[in-house]
Amino acid sequence: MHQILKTTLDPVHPNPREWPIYKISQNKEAFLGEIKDLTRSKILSKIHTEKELNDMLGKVLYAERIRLTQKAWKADPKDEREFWGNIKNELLKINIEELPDEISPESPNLAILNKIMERYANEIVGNFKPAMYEFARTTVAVLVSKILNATPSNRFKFWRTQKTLDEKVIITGELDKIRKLAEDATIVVVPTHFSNLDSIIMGYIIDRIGLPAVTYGAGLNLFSIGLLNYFMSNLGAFKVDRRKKNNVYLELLKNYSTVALQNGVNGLFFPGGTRSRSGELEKNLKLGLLGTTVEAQRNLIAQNAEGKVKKIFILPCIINYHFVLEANGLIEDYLKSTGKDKYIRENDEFSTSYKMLKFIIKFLFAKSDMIMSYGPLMDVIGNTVDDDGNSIDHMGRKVDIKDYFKIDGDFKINIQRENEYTRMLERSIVDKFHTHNTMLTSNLVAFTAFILMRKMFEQLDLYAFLRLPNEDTEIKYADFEKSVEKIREQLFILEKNGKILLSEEIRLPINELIEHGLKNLGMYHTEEVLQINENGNVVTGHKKLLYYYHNRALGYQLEKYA
Amino acid sequence: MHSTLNHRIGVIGAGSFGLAIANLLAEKNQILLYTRKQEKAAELLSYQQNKTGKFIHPNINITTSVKDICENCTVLFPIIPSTKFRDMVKDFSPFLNPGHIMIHGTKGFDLDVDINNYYTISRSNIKTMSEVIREDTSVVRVGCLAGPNLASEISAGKPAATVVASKFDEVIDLGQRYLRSTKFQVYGSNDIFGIELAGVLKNYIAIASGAISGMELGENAKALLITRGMAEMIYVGRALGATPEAFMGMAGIGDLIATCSSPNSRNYSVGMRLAKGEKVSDILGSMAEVAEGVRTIQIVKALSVHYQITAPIVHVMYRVMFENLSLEKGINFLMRYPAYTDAEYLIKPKSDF
Repeated sequence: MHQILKTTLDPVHPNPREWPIYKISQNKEAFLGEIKDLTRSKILSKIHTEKELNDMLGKVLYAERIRLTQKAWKADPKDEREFWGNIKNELLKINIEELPDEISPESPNLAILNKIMERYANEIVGNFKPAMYEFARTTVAVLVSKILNATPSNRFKFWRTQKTLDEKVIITGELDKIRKLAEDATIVVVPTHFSNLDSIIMGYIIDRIGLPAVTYGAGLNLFSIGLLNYFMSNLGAFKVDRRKKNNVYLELLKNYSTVALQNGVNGLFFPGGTRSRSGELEKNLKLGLLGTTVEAQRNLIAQNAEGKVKKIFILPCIINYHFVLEANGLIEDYLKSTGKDKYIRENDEFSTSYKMLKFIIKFLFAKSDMIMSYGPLMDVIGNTVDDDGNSIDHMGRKVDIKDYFKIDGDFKINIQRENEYTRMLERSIVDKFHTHNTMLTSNLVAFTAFILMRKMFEQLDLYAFLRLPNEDTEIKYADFEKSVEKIREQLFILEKNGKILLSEEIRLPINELIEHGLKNLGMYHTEEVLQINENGNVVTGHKKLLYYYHNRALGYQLEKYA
Repeated sequence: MHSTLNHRIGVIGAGSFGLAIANLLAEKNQILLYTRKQEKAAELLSYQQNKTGKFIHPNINITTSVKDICENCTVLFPIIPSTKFRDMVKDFSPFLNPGHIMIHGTKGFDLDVDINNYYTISRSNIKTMSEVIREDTSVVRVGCLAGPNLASEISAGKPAATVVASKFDEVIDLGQRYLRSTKFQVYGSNDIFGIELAGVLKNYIAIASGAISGMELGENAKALLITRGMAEMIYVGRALGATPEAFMGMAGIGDLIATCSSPNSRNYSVGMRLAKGEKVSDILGSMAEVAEGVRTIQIVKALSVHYQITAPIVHVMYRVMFENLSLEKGINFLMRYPAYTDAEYLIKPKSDF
């Protein structure tokens, strides 16, 4: 049943010391050992000779030395150069001609591979300290909401007109079912990604519905921010260094996720990879990390092919903001790269704790709400699941997840098959991103205004259009209102057919809806994204931002109704 | 590995191609062959027992029970006419699960509209057979068979080749393992949509080719038709979202050459009989098995209107079959159709025909 939550629910498993994330943190050696073993066996399944292994290690070394000279960070460990210097010396000592073709357990190349994996694994791994978690959960949340506009209680008359943090961030979804299934299954939360604030918000809303802490990969650069490092290193986050693109590192990173999932640790990752540059809902996802859910599920089946299989469920989550602080930078990136994510800025708005804090303060002082919609739980193939955790396919039939991994009646591992399943899962997640997206008034007004303005200059390409002076694209309020109303009618139809969710304010009388939308749309940008001028017409103060916010409503074929 | 004595493989449909495939598969495996009607099953059984009529391999067991074949076989080869395909899939659906694999051998489209009532249709109106399976069953691993596979020649033990297409390599491997023999080559492809399209679109070119033979216009004319037919298939395929590569292989050019030259092809014989002056209704009424090409003509013509593709062959064949244009006039028109660049579909993405 679809629920709307304006409170905080009790934890599904009250004792953090019983959470798998704590257990792996306690048995770190065994956990890392499992990851290293898996990684080694995968590498050796593709590489069969000493020469190939030696070549691969040479490539890793080369890439790392480039990184050290060209992309060094202050936060990098002091012994980086020394470590890779030693690896270089050891590699130079090896005379390939003297080694047998086949890789033996005593292989010097293998020893180097082990050393590199050891270092990477220790760098990636996160900690989980229940005390820290409790601290973050209670003290910080209360503190934050107390300092800022949200009030923790109704005791103070002065605050009473304002909303509590729980009321400000509305959560919707099949919450009872999610909580029930989370008792036994492993949950992987896959949210949409628009702002750097998302990871913090996700931590908050996962806790609000009472799920045990999740592990997630956070950029290594975030760990160089003092305050964040302290929290994140102890809250189960693992470190991802985007500068490292070599095979050993990437393989290890994926296996970290696989093994954590197999051990029952709930996970979170942003399947779009990076923040949506255009402001549009993700249409294509990163398949590498997504595929680890399929792989982990397969391994759980392999462990118990005939019995009851521990399941991994995917939980899409759609974050709906009225504004994205970084919108300006994001849309610039997008326009520069014309849709290809080739150009990614390394320094962005959240490069320091101060800037991030400022943003959080701005956000929390805002009188605008935020809606988080949990989509339906799905298995790793993309089937929805019933209240008992059974997979239900698109025909509404109960199917056994094990059957997907059988061929000719027998369980068999097949990587190419799993790649196809990952693609099927991708399609299902993207679909749920759209069907469980909550349309806000600000999305609706931005979309309508942009389409109307664009129609006035259809002959221009997008870039020329965006360069037009803002006064050239004034639209009459009456036209605007009419179009908003027409699109809203269409939205009601989409809602009825289960294609979208609508916020409460969308149902307001049309002029109130517009007022609400205009007020909330991108409220923290220096320019008004959309406003009504002295002539009573609708004008934009920043066309690119308007374009950005308009993109959020793409994918529903609403254009023709404006 | 399971004993090959278990019925792991099932064939759905006992038409001429279904039987040919069942016999091929039966050379190495025990096969369960499903046919809907009791009488047909009895007839097949008597052929097998008395070794008369059609050849039915001794390794084939015949069943009329959907449950029976679904429970015993994890790999199914549905080979039935496209017009009956969806109904068959719906009958089978309750007994199928994601552990099943289906490799179909049906060369036709499924339509969500009655083609007789529509002037234009688009991609969203048509489904390939693998899409029908995906839509109406829990099966996800689907594949298709296409290529120069004239049933009568396969049955006679003459050499032939096919392509098994699927997004899943394991489905291709399985198809190859079960079907491959010294006389039957099995190629693989991951482009299932392209391969399915090639298999369907060649049908109406075969009718036109039969007509040219029947009119005794010679081999040059036929080569002209086949070559331009190939171009037309690529244009239609492109509009539907397929790449030209699939049309260059076994399911495209391979199948085209076979069906455009052989009186054993049903589509080709429709064209031959048209040329001999028979009426369309008489021809269709007298055929024991359907010629998919006739329906393909209606569908492709409606598609070409929607996507504004220049497709003279399908338009001429449509007018001949449904609008009383004389075959002679139609074929003459095609033979004199103005020519520009040769093999232009390889050079640029779009061109006037």
